[in-house]
Amino acid sequence: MHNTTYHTDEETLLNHLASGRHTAFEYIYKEFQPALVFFAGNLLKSDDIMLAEELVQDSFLKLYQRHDNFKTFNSLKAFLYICTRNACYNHLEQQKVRQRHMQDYVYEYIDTQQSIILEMMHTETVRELLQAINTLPPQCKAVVDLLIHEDKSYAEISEILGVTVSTVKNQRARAISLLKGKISGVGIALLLLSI
Amino acid sequence: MEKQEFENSYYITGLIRKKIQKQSLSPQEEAELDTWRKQNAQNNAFYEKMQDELYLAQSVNRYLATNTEQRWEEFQIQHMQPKRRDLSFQWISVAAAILLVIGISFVIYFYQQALLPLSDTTVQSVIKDSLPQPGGNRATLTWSDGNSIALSEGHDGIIAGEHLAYEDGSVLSQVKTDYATLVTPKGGEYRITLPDGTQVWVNAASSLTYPTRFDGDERKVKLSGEAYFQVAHNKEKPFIVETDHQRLKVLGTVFNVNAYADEKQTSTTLLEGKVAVRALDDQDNSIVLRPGEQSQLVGGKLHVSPIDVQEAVAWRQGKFVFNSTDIYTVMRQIARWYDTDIVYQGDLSNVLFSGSVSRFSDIESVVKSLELTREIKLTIEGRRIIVRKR
Repeated sequence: MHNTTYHTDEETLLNHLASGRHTAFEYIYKEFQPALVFFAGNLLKSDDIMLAEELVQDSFLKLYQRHDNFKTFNSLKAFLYICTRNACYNHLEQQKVRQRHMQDYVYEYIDTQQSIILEMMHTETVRELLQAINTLPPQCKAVVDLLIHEDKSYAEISEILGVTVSTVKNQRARAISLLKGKISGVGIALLLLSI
Repeated sequence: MEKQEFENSYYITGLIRKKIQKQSLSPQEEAELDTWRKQNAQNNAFYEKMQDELYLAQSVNRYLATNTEQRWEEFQIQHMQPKRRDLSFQWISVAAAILLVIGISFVIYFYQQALLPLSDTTVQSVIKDSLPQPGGNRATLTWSDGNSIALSEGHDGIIAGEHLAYEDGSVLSQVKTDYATLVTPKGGEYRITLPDGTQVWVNAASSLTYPTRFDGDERKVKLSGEAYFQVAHNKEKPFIVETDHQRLKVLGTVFNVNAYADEKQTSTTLLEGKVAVRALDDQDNSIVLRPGEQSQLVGGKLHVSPIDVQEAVAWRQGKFVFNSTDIYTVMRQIARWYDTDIVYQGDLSNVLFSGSVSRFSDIESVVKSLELTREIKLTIEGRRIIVRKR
């Protein structure tokens, strides 16, 4: 569950994180875990999602163990992205698998840090687009969350929310129409039709 | 990855996202995005790729491939063990208990009638709710025939075109009359796009009256309070902003007008372009402002001075910015945004502030930052803030 206050009030989020509040950490985890897994997957040029997920768990452990405060939300984001980038880089080093693919990667990294920045921008663009889901009315959002993030069927959702299957379908249709324009047209269609 | 580089790429990401969402960028934003794209071929290729909806859709699907809930469970089990949690949570519980005692005495003291069985959560929510909250997207739109609607807090802007619609295209209503007024309460702000494409950000406790069609040979709107204008260029039809005491004429430009009735002066700050300002009842003497200048109309007389533009339009960036600002001016801004009344004790005219605070901070942190000067003491009592010299 996303906390709506944290969503709009970064300062409170940072204060709560600094004071060790569980809900603030949970919010950041849930907001950035998919982003960082996507980012790591792109840097590793790998479809091995388990590997990316493991590396990202370590980034969050670093965040959890860190005791300094972040002054801005951007510096918190930078911390997470840099941790994940380092984790990917270390992983590649440790593997010492000097296959061509790896050499290409290392070469690219050394040659242009810019491609890493662009990968981060790619990730942030998707994350920001998906935030549109947070602006949906509560029931609509609950349906979309269950569909997208938890992969539930209409019947399961109707049971969880205690509404009829046709209500679930209606809310899904409503979500699509509300999200049009916020996420690009084809993007949202593919996203929601694929479920 | 340098910090500066990071900050800039976050900013550019925001612009690219707006482009994907088919939102309009200001001319300045367009220029910045353009410069970034021209920096090198890689940047430009990235931008092009982000406009490709199929590519984007594939990204979204890959982005959603991980099971966040399950990973979160694992993370909690592996790294946030109960043992560990107990240790740190003991302190938190002690602190919470103390706060709760303080909280309960506070509630009992101020709400003697509320000696009902209160659960912990209600005690806390009573305390939280009784504090003034920062403002948000709140406004009402009233037509000249008296009909009105409350605008959604879930949106931050409306478009007054052929129909009245939110920015995502959802239609609110048919246009009914020749004139309409957007009114923000204390603690509200809203954005409106006028029929000619001009964008206006209306600050708290303000109102903007506009014609639903710009027919004649000028585009005239009336403002009370404060607003930031980004006027669509149209040489043929000058854009006029009238306030209680001032008339301002532009061709196409970006500026801020602060004409609250409780401020001594009407301040006009120009960011881009050119505007001509005059007192409402003085047709002969108008002044032309250049970017970076602010005019102040006091007692029928206009004065112009160069100023820090960022300070005048900080509210648009969600900040209060003060630069040797007197306490009365500071508190008027706070009162408008947090919907509070201010009580002053003693003469505070020598107390000046410099610094910046987020408009979305809770009132207590705002008060704390003001007290950092050590010259004054502020006390929040319900909806009132009492200011006294230390």
